[in-house]
Amino acid sequence: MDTHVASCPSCAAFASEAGELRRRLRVSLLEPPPDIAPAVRAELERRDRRWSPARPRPQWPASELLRAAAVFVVAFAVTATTIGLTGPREAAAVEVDRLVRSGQHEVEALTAEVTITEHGWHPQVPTRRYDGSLAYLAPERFALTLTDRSAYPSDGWRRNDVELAVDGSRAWSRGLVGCPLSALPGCAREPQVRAVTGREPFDESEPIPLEVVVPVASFGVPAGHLLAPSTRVDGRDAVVLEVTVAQVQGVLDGFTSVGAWRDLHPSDPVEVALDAEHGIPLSLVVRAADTDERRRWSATNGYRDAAGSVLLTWQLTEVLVNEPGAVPEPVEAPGSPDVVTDRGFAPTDANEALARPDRLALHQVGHSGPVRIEAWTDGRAWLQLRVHQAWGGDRLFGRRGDLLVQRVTLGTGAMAYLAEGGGELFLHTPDADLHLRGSVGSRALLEVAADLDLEGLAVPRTWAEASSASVADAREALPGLLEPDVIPGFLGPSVRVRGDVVSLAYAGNGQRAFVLTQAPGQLLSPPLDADVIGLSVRDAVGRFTPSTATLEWVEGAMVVSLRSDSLSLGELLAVAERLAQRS
Amino acid sequence: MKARASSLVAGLAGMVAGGLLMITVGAPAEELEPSERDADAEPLGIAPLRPAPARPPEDPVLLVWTAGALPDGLTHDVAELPLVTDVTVVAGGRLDLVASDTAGGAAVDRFEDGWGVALDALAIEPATYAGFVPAADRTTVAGLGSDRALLGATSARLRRLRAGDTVTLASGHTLTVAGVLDDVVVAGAEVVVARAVAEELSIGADRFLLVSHRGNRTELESAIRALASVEVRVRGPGETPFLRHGDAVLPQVQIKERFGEFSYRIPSAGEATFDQEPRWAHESLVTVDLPILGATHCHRDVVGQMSQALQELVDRGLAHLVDPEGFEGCYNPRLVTPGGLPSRHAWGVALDVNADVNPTGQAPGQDRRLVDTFARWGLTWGGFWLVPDPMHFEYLREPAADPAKVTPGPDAGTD
Repeated sequence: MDTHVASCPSCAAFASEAGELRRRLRVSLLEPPPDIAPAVRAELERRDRRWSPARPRPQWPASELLRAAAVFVVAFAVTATTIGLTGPREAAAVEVDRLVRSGQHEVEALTAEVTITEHGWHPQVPTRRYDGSLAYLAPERFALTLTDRSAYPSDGWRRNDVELAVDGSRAWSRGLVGCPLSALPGCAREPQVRAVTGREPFDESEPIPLEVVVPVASFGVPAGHLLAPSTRVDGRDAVVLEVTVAQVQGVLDGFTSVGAWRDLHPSDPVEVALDAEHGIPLSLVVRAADTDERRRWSATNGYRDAAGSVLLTWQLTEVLVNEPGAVPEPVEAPGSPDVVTDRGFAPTDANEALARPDRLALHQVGHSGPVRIEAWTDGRAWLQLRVHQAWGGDRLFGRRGDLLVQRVTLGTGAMAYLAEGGGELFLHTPDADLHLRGSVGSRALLEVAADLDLEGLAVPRTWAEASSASVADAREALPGLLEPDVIPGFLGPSVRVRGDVVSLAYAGNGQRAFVLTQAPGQLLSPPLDADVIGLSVRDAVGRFTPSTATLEWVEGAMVVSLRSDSLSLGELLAVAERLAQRS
Repeated sequence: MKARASSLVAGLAGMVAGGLLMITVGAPAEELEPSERDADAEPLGIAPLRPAPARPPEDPVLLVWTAGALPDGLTHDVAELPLVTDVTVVAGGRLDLVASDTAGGAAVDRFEDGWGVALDALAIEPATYAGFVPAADRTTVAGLGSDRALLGATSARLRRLRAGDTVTLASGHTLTVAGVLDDVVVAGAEVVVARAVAEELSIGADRFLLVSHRGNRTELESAIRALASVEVRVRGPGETPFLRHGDAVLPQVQIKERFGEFSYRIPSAGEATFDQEPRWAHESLVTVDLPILGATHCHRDVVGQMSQALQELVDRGLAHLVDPEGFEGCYNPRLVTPGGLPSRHAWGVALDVNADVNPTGQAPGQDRRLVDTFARWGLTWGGFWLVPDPMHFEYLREPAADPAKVTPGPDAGTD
């Protein structure tokens, strides 16, 4: 890397500026102490100038508040419709994503009490109740403790107590390991303690559950949601939205990734109340979806969920944001972990930073094996750059699974690859392979990549991403290509063209995504599963395969399939109805 | 009064706020903070993605089949069900073609003595089957005589035959091609004959029913399952491309079209293996080093997707799901059962993996991630069949694109 910096004038310039840059930044590096509390207090005091005291909140009577709120919403909508320059819905469409995107820059610290109820986990334990607390300090300190207050039939049942702590390079958790419902309570073992050392900043494998702080991944894409507060939670104005489990999976994972919890279906509706000031998810209510595939899923997975019944609730109280009193409680490290993983990250001199993202402060620079890592933050917002100078793989460095990517050209003329969802960017250069990730959106990633001023190349023909293409390429490869209009809450497609098979991947908020695949053909292939459903799609006879969540039909001498692990059959049918030739 | 006042205030506040908001967000994009906007996230549409109701197809025809022969009396019993309006029964088996000629007597295909090609044959009741085909084909189907045969379109193309030409079978019978019909109309068969000559031609047992009905499908399915003494598979319109038994795999004619047709020394009764046309084997088969499994002899046109499926398991840290010691091969020139059609292993387009713990006919023991990975690469799993063959994965189609955001493997891209 040093050689590279020496041969890269712009990089060398950045390196020389790094010292000054650090002085200008309002966040400095911290060595993780064994006990969080003292350092947290000190850090909070240093950041005190950014915070304002808690504002007194008006205590309106509930009925009057509701009535006033309703009038406000109507007046808001009517006025906005009348005055709007580009239409009322477009105006509303930008607001929730703006709320969380700006909120992630504002939230430096958060503490709250947590109350959770879980219904339908097991026939003998219809309801489980939890209380606890969460504490967060930017950029990467997080603690969640939950105490299971449920009534169990006997002492043979283990309580689903949860502890999760992340402290920079260290993380640990304590919780039950799930076992089959039918084997409970006998299969439950002692809670497992896992510990991680050498954790890289914003480690992908050991993530801090930032979505429970501000759910940027869940709501960052415009989806037409209204901003107007319609309720109050814990004395805070809140926006209420109805989404699906797939959209807020990141929030749910934030408190269910440790311990043994019931499963939820991706299409289950979720009522979310977001703090109107910062976008913090103040409450969630998950209900069982009312669809045939959901009922089938329940039966397969051993649940007896009635359609519309409440499955899970999450409620924050005593919420304190960016306030000096909001000090996270200290969390004790476990004595003797059952599993210890060393992720191998070692911090180095932060003056060597290559990137220079706007509005973000340098957090840490270091190495994990052959990979150089830089991390940048501002509040809960973050960006990570990973650089590999000897990447020998046959795919883009850092690309996971079969994530589709879109080939893009930076302002400098360099070529780069943007992952579906816009949260990751990849560069293949003569000297190194780079992987940019973050919560700041694709535009920021593109700007950072362009700023590096590297010679981004197309990947070799033998690499998996060589078939990445543009929509224009796809239209040329397959005349008559069907495409949806732009769907709120989803980004434009990443495209793959393999011969005359065209795949368009659309990613949306949270884990909501679908892939539209088309190829010449007159017939569907035989079913891949015993359980398939024939149905009408766009006036044709089609097929839905629940096990693969795939909707298929034949149209215009093309076999068309829509596949999604996160949309319901009804939503796939709705997408199908929006397809048309767009060229 | 107080409530009215607060509502008035709220209304005014809402108007002001709404107006301010629209003025703000309606401003040109350049005026917004770049980091708060995403160039790729601009929604052009405004309607939310509201789920659409699932509607069943209108065509009320069901396919009913069982593993092996249909139970005695099932056809009659199904026909008696109150919801059923019509039923036809179809037999299936193998016919061995030894020669074909044009209507003018010119030879099209000739095979050495004792050699031929295996045809996937169905035997229909012309009068009742005609009720289940498009109106344009009904006369042709209904008029199928005992000395005639119908060919599917793909079969006719492979055979280079048309109406009026003849096919000569190993049994010595010569049948005149009465017509060439769409593959869907002949349920993917290569040749269709009348049931009246099925026994004479040694075509096997009754294999499936087509049932037209009115009323609730679920109710009818339950009634049919109650009548059968064995497990029944029922398919409706759209659920499978060819309404025939064994609907989870490609019809043989499509395997031939994709991977070529070979002649073979016609096996005698009781024989399960056969000698295969050397030229086809030489041109079609290759030995490759597959991930996890090692050196494997397969069809050259399928090894790519087999290799990629196995490589994906390796990349995702799932290689342990395939035990190399339990691999029972790809290419094997044999019949599915003596007297039956050639196995897909005879084309080298199927793999038997983890065979030691997944014997045929027993409960599937394959990991679902293995099954799903192979499926994404176009290989269907025998574990879903009526008689499960859980070690077996065979070619079904070209690889499809994966859904977005598949679960990443551990440590992907870290070294």
